[in-house]
Parts: sequence; structure tokens; C-alpha cells
Amino acid sequence: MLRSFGSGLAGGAASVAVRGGVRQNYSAVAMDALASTIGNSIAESMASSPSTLTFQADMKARRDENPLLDFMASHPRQDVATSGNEPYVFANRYLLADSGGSMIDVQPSPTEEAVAFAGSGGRVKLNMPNEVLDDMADNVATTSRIKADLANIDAMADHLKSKIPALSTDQLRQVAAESLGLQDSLSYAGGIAFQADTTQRTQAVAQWLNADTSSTVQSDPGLVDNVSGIYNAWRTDQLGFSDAAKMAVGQLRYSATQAINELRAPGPIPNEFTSPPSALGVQPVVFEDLIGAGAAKGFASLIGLGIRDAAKGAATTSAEVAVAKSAANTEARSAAQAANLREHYRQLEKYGQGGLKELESGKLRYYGEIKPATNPGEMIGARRVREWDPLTGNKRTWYETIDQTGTVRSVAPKPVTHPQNHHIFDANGNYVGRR
Amino acid sequence: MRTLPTKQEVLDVLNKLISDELTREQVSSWATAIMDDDEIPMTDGIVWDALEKLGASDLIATDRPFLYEVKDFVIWRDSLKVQMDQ
Repeated sequence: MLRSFGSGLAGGAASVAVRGGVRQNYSAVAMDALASTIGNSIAESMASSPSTLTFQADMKARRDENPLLDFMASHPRQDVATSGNEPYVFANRYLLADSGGSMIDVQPSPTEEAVAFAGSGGRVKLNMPNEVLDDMADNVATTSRIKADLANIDAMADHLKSKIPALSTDQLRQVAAESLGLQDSLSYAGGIAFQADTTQRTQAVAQWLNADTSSTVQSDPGLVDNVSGIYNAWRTDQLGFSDAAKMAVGQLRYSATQAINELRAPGPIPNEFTSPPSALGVQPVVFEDLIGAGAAKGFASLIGLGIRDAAKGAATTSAEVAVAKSAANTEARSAAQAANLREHYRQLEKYGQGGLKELESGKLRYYGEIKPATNPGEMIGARRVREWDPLTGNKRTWYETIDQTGTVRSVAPKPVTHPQNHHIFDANGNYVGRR
Repeated sequence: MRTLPTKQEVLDVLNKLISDELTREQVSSWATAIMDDDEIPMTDGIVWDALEKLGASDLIATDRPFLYEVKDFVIWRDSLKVQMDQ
């Protein structure tokens, strides 16, 4: 058992700062691994703990995956961000877990929620007791993929040690992680259930921050959730505050539980759009228990958990009636949406290791990791991009070459379409011509 | 069912790229065709990473003929070998 997950994360924050924004963070498990290689004293000195550890979750929404958001987008009063992904703040509340980490409970505080709803920034903050973090860290540590990745990193670092003796083991591990394309593995190791790949497949989004400095310890893992839709329903008077708050809490609990379950059974993860509740390891009654029958009707409809019978009962507010109608109207589209969603996740896992971007047109771009070039010239490397249009099914692929400032300077379609296949851009992003 | 190439097959291609038995364009075309095949599942992250690199082997740079040079290919090969030995 790890003694202090929080202190490990704080160490991660410190190491990030020292390295000038290096992406991966050393958290508890990684710190243990480091301790074995660089000595406990160094590891402990890196792990100076903040007084408070805050768990920060970003709740985001995507129109094409959220019937309520879709409904809101067509509503006269809608002010839903049409760009697709927008973070919102919801509430401050406590997450509690049992000793197995499989059951997360949420205790909402109406006062805090009211503040948070009216606040700025778009974040959910949750305080977790250390024993929960320890348990999660242990779960993460037993995840086979993470263990394998870390083993690769360490082996590569050992290999590099003879070639680059000037670098510390710590630095070599970073080099190895990047060289092996496992940049996120160190984060995975302590990044709890809510990081990167896990996040993308479970739709649980969160990141850690150091409460002393309010700086994030992890890069924004991004992605999707349903809470923004609930939030906007409240903002546009589609839902009362109380119901919206309860529904947001329910979604939060649901996402967190999913993520924890994935840690316990790594592998393909069903999602709420394509699988019955039983396959998700979360029973609908969870929402009934947590948020009350009235809100549960709307919420169950929203996320398509297959408990729409609940929505057939008498709705208790006009907002719930509106939500229930919305769900009914969108049910016919759900099959196509589910197919698209499956295709999205497939491509995200296969092509989106470096990130995802949704265009205004609804097209999705899946980015591979940048492959750095050893020659320290104007260009630092290139990445593969696949674009998919869910409306037409069309897909296309290209490589982007990136310069030192992060500007795309060359685009090369694949397969090759022209003898001069590279579209060149200047440092300001202006198109120059073909080469 | 089509599948990803094995690590050894990728290594062979890398060796031929380094020794000029295969051109950059041939190697890139080979790798991108595999990656673009929707029926081929991504079952091996190491192979996939190598394919992404090989797909970029023919990219040019604004300040030199090619973005990736032979020494990059050697590094990619050595990295793959290390992972194969584990």
C-alpha cells in the first residue's frame, strides 16, 4: 500500500516544473519505481506534499453523443457551445469509496454546488481521502498494460544509460518513455482511473492539481461527458437547479465508477450508448438511489441506459417532460448514433493516441503522437492525422510536419496524391505551394 | 482476417530502408496502406508506433531534404530491437 498518493502527485508537480513543462508526471507508482532506481532520498525529496490534494474533474459534452445537448442546440434559448467540447464547472463535493475502490459515492453539498454553478472556470473539484487514493493507486499498479509499459520504459532507460551517461536515470526514463511512444505511461501509473486512454474510453474526465498552487499536475485529459448538457439545461431553464445538480452528481458518480471498473478489468470497455447497464458494471438503481426518482427519469433517458421505462412514469416537472420528449425524439436516431459512436471509439483507440479534435463541420481528426526528428532543425517532427466525417463516412489521412513553434509547416496526404505531394506553409501558417 | 505485420517483419523493412534496398516512398506506402486498412485491428502498440514512423519516412523538411535521416531510421530500428528482446 502506498502511504501517500497525494505526496507522490505533488512530487510529480515539482518534477514537471523543473523540467519546464514536460508532459508526463511522476505520481505515486512512478515515484515508487523511481525510488528503486534513484534512491529513496531523492524520491522523497521530490515528493514534498501540498497541504491539500484536490481532485479536479472536467466535465465536457459532445452534441453528437448527448441527446440533451442535441436538444438544447435546437432550442430557441440554447446557448450551448456549438464547437462541441466545452468544459463547465459543476460542484464541489466529496467522493468516497469503499475499501475495494469499486463503489464511489458522492455527497453533494447544495451550498457548494450553488457557488460552483455560479462560479467561473468550468471545473468540478472533489476532495478524496488518502485511503481512497491509495486503493486506486494499487489498482492502477496492477494493471497489466501499465506494468508492461513501465517495464519497457525502465528497460530502455537501462539500455540508454550506457549510451548517454550524462543523463540521470530520471531523465533517461523520460527519454525512454518518449522514444518508446509511452509518454503517458508514467502518468497512467499514478494517474488514477481518469487519465488519457482510460479516460477516452470511459468518458470519465479528470485531472489532479496541487491545491497549494492551484496548478494542474496533469495535462488536461479532455473528453466527453454528459454534464455540460445538464448544466445548460439548468442555464436555459429546462431543468430546475436542484434536479440539474442531482443529475450532474449522478453523471459524475457514473463516470467515476466506470473508470474504476475499467481498472479492475482492463480491456475493451462497453459504453453507455451501446451496452446494457449490466455490461457497464453499474446498475440503474445507482441513479435512483443517488438522485431520486424524479431526476432519475430524465437522467436515465439522457444517457440511454436502457431504463427508459422509468421515464414513462409521471414526470414531476415541466423540465422533465421536455427532457423525456427529447429522449423519445432522439431514440430513433440512437441506432445510427451508436454505430457512429462505436466507429469513433475504434478510430480513437487506433489513430488518436496524440489527441482528438472536432471541427465545426462535425468532422473528427485523430492525431498520432509526434515522432521527433533527431536533426535539430527548423522542424521538430511529424504526426499522422486521420480525419473522419461521421455524416458521409469519408476518411482521409495525412502527415503534418511541425516546426519548433508548433506550427504545421507541411501537409502530405497519404497515400501520395501528387508528384509534389507536400503542401508547404510558412512560419505564419500561410500556404506557400507544393514541393 | 488481415493483421498487423510482426515486429520481425517491420524490422526487416527498417533494415532494407537503411540499406537502400527499399526507397523511402516504398516504405511509406507500405506502412500507410496497413495503417489505413480499417479491417486491421491495432493489436500491437510497438508495431503501430513503428509503422507510424515508417509512414513518415518520405516526408521532406523546409530546411533539409528529408525530415528524418538515416540516423533516425537506425534509432527506430535499435528501439524496435530492444523491445523485441524484452
